[in-house]
Amino acid sequence: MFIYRGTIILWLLLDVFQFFMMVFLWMSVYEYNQSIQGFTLHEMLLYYLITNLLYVFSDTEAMYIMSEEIREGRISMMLIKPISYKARLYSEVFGRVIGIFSLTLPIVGITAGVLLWAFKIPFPITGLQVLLAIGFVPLIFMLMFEFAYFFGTISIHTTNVFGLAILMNVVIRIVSGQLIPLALYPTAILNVIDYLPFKYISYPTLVMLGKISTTDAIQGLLILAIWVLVFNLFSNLIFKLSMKKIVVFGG
Amino acid sequence: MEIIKVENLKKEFIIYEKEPGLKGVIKSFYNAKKIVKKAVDDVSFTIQQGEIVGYIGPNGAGKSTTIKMLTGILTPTSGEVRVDGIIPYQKRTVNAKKIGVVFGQRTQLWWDLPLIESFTVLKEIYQISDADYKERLAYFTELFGLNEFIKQPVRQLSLGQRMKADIVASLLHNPKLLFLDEPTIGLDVIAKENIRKTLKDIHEKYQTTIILTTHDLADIEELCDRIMMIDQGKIIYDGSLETIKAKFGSKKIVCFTLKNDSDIDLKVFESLKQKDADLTCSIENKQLTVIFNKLKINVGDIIGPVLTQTEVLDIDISDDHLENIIKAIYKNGL
Repeated sequence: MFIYRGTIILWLLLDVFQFFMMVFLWMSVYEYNQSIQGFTLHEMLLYYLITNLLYVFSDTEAMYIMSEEIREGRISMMLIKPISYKARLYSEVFGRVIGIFSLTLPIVGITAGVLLWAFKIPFPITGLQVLLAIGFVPLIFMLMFEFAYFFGTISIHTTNVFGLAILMNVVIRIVSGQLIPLALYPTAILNVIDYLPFKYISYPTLVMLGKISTTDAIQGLLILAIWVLVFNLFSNLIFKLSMKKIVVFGG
Repeated sequence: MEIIKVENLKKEFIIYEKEPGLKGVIKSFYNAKKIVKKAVDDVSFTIQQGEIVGYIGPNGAGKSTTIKMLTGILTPTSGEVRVDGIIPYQKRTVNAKKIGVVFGQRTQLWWDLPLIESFTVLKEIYQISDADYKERLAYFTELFGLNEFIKQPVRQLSLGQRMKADIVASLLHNPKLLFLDEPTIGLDVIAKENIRKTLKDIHEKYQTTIILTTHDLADIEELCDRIMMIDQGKIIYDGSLETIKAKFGSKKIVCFTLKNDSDIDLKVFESLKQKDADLTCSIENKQLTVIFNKLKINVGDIIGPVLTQTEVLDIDISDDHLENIIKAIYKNGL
């Protein structure tokens, strides 16, 4: 991943640019309101910063890797090796996520520092909150991996998952609260989103901003863990069944 | 000891046929035409440990599909397949530890990383001991001149380099069973020779079982004792190389180098054509080539008349090339 330098630099620049655009947007929105659904401007900016930093862990690249390997037939080269296809994919995605995180962390750190100083934002945070927030991170990673693994498997049955993949990614961004806090959505939609596990993606941020109580956080961790297990069993089953139908053309 | 046992193996694919143009796209939406392609159609064979088997057939015959079922990539539609006692697609990783695979058209190496990194990863995956790894890598480095390109990313290697690398990768863990699908494709003469030598050495030392799929019949001639021929999903021949040559290779080729080609009169072969209708003779650039069925005509009957008619500088007598034999079988069946 670090081999292609140009790609990394360009993409970091875009990230920073996008962030500043969002700051200006929220500033203009908050000109007329002190608080929106319980979020002050300061909290909103912190929300955006932290959620984006942690969104790295909701990576669904596994879907693309799988779909490409299946379409190009390269999957056969993985299947002849005495390693679990899923385990190898897991480590690859994990390595990728850690790589991206280690790059974005300093950038976000500096941006956050500038932000906190420029806007004089108070950020009262307890060790417990940090601990709980961090507790969500591996579960979110696993949840999204299983999710991506499932969609990657689907490409065995349909050759083109590109459109579906983009749709899924957009939907996730909406139902996870990555763009704006879920609290800002109309109640009708919130009622549906509440039943999905993707809302937990914004939980680390909400915990750190003190929007979720400790009890709710722990409950959230348990429910999320159960979701991960369900996704895991389901995606394993689908993969096993799909392997029987796999067709690798050429050679 | 039996290492591969295949019984009534079948693999069918469903292929959707689409008519060309916009009309075809709409039509295929609601009424897709399904065709069942029988890639492997009731194939049975047994391979003993230590054999070197050539698995040949025309393009699309079902060779690669069979190999993929033996390596656990594909699941058969029906039938039984056992490799060293286990069913490959059921116990994929266990099977994978014992086999080495080279698919000529695809690499098993990591595309963006330097070649040496692929080898170190494979060392871990196959749990090769430090000593064994060092020894084998040294052996291949010398044989294939790996030092020249071992630090380059695989995507920057030439085809020949990549092929050599893939062969090394398949042998690093010294597998019991080796599947080679077009292993010498794109290699120069010296490289091909080196690969054949390596395979022979390894076979001698470790009794490695080798299944070789190739269109290069020189590979087959040098390495294999046994040939299996598949066509349209069915095995049409399973036996020794010698038998195929003896039974079907009845053609003999005699090539005369003449001093000048104006003396020779091809009518001299007319009487022989009565015995063998397929006899052909041609003259080009002072080279007279006669191809005939050695079961029907003696070589002396060909050479005699020519020697009496004109001055002959050189005579080349050879059995039919394996290539032509195979070609004829592909075209006409057995």
